[in-house]
Amino acid sequence: MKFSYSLIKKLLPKAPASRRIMEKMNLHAFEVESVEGDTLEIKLPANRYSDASSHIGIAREVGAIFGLPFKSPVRSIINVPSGKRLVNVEVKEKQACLRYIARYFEIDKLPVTPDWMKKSLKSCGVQSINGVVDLMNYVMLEVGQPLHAFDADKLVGKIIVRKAKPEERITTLDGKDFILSRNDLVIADESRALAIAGIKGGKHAGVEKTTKKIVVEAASFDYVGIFKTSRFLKLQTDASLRFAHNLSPELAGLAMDRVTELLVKAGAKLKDSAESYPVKAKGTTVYFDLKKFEKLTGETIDMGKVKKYFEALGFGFDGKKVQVPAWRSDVFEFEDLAEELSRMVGFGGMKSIPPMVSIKPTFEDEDFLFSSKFRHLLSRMGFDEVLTSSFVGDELNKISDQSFFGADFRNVEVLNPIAEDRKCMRRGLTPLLASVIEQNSRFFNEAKIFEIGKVFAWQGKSAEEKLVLGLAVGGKKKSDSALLLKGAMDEILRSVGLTDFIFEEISGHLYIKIGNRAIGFLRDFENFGKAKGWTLAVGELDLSHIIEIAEEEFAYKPIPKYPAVMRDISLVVDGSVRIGDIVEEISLINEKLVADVDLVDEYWDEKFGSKQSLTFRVVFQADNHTLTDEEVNVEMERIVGMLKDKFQIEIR
Amino acid sequence: MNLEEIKKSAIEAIESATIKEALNEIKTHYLGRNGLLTGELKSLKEMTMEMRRDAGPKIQELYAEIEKKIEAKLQLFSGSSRKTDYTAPGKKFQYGHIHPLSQVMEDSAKIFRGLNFSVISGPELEAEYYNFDALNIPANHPAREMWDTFWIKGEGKNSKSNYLLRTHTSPVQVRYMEKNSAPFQIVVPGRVFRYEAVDMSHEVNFYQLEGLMVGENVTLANFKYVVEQFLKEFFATMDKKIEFRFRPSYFPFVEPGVEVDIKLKGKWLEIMGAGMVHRRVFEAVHYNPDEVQGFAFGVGVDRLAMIKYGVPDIRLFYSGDLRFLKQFKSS
Repeated sequence: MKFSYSLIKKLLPKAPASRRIMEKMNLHAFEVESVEGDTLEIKLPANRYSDASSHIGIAREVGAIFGLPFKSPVRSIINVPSGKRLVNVEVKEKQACLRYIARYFEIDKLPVTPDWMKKSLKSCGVQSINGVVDLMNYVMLEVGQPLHAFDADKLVGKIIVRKAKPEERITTLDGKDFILSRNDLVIADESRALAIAGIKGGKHAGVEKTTKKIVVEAASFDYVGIFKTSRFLKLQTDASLRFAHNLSPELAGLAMDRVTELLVKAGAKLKDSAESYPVKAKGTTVYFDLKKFEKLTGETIDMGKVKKYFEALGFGFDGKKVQVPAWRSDVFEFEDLAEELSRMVGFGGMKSIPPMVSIKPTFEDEDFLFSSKFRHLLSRMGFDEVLTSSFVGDELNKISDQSFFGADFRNVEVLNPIAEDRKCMRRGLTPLLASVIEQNSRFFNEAKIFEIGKVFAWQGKSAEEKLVLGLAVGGKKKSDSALLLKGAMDEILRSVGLTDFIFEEISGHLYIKIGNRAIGFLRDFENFGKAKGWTLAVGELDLSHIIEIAEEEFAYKPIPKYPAVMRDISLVVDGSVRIGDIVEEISLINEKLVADVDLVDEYWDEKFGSKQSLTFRVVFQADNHTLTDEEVNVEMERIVGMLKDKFQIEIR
Repeated sequence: MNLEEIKKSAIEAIESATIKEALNEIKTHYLGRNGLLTGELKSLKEMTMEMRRDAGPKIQELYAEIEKKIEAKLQLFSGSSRKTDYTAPGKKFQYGHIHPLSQVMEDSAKIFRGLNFSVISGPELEAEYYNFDALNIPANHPAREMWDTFWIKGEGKNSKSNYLLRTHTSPVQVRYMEKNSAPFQIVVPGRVFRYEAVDMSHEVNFYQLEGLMVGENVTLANFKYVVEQFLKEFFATMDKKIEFRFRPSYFPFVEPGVEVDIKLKGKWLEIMGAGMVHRRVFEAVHYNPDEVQGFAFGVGVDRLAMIKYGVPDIRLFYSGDLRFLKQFKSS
């Protein structure tokens, strides 16, 4: 919010230079974001509008901070004429309109706005309109209470504060049309709505050059209603911004007295008034306990200083009770006082003391712990960590046709997306990681990446999120991406003690399962997007579930006492035969003796036609004796026989 | 040339030799039949007995030294023995790289564990109640405008079933306190979301680290100590003498509210928002606010990383560009 330095200086003549004000306010009140010429841009906290969205408020703060006495320029006016029936007010919505004051003035001609006032208005970003409107705005800047002036000749009957009729229309001062609803509050006369209450005046009954009779309004509204209407109409004004921040109804009285004084000075005559103020806003009394303050802050302070600071802020203090004026709507309990005192003392000057606690073992929760563990494991395996957006479009989310959310899921959609292609929450990491590889294909010949992050979906009536580990391997003419990924995923699962998982191929995708539950999957892509000539494999692991079932326990197994014997079998077999099946059959030939089977070579040449050449390495080991050549030969013969029988292989 | 000079020039010549032939020439030049040192040896004959006793061993010693050095270097060039060429570049290990934001979160967690804090996580998809109501930010309160929020489509009937993307890590304060009793001290790193235009310093998803310490006597002075320790250690490699500035601030879930700035390498930087946990928050989790007190703070992980690594644009963190990510340290 913009403030005028010269106006602050007018209210507090001893005020120091604006740079000094900026510096000290930052440390003791709130942020002065910039000083440019006469304008101070101040970032008011949401709870300080009632007392500080005004030059009086800022001058009071500056006075309190610099120890300068401040005196408000507002004098209360007594003997206000009323009941002359020149202005009548009926408030129908007393919950929504907490106070309504109207005063009726007669004036020969509109006053001329003095230059100094024009300057202050300009510094605060307010346009000069005419002598009456300028005065209204000036008093708003001084006191913080929005005011409105009507041309009394254009009013029909009394002023009524009521809810708008369904689809009631109003044209605002600046010529824009709005259609209101029954939730919106209006200021009306007996014929039409004159203003959207607390937000903007209507075109009708505005003060013009020829105006001779004026009704000035100072009103106070329930802040929630103003906030809602302002949002509903998408119309934010200086007034609505202030009212939405819970201004005290007491401000209306102060502003009305101040504007009356200035109008009378400018030649207007106060003839009549009307007011509705069913529940008078009162200041609060809060007990202040010095010991409690010291316990909260760890800071000691003497009572003399406490009194000095409270009084400088406009509070009454008798050593125990603090009388808080009504316009400080943010102060009503002990901690509010503690905050006022702390900032007056200055947080910077306060002590810094190590906490005294019973130390206890600390821990990292499982999501953090496992993420960190996998992150380090994968980076050692050569994978680079990436972080991608949580938002995707429909198209990209479709690529996540596999996910860990079962068959019955719906996308989690954002009500207010920043773009159409960012309207869903990602259901899996696959499309995002594939895109990352695609982008990097311009600069690299190979990429191995991973991401650990949350994915989202509705399952029935609950919006679920899961922690997922996604991996991707891609490269130009790289044929082993998928197997590399398979190996990496295998390693990750073993690193947390999981061994009872199986790989299962279902309709072209590989699934990792424990029992019937898929805990991971992986798939191939060729030429994904712009990554021409690249093969790409992307996989995901359901970390939320893996964390639950991880086996942290580990016990050592004795080192085998007897040596292992290794034999290779090279064979040619039809290309349609699955390597996994051969490995499995070899393993099953003698579970006691076959310790391991691995594929060590894979070869294809044109002369093989539809056949492939494979070399398997079989490790034999017994746990009770050293295997003899004869024993191994017997097993090898059985293996070859079985392979010829089941897979029609030829030994090379 | 005296002996010292011969020694110096011979050693220099040997060291700068890059091929076998050069060494052979050096050998001839110094040690050959008409070599420099051979000449010195010959000149001994013309000396007196006394001078000879003094100079003789020195020349012989130097002769032996140069001979040894030449032999040693010749060994390096003898290709036939297939010895390791140590001057070849070391083999590259293909380690991966950990994302800078993960590094910052892990480093921060480590510092806080050293200060007896535990590390906690919470959901990203959050109920309106935890993100706002329970943190003393009621519906239709202008303070809500401080957080530009992504709302989730759904048929939530109340603030506990109405979903949003958490705008800060603070809801985890409430979730944690609902299930645990004081005293405790925790930090919560995690992804948060803001509905705002993306630019050099704003992203729609980014990371925060929340801190919360609650006990019978946890004071504002304790808060100052803890964050000072954390920031000093976190930035220790950049600046050993950072300065602090504590300014009043407003967040509905703390009171008093504080903003922390640090002066790093001569420049003031806004670093975190904090304060003493608000009475309303304790009430929301059924703690007795007259029996416990504590502090909370929130720091932007992306901001810490941008400062620490001098990254000018927050978008780089989410670009997936390996030319950027591969600059950060390996595991």
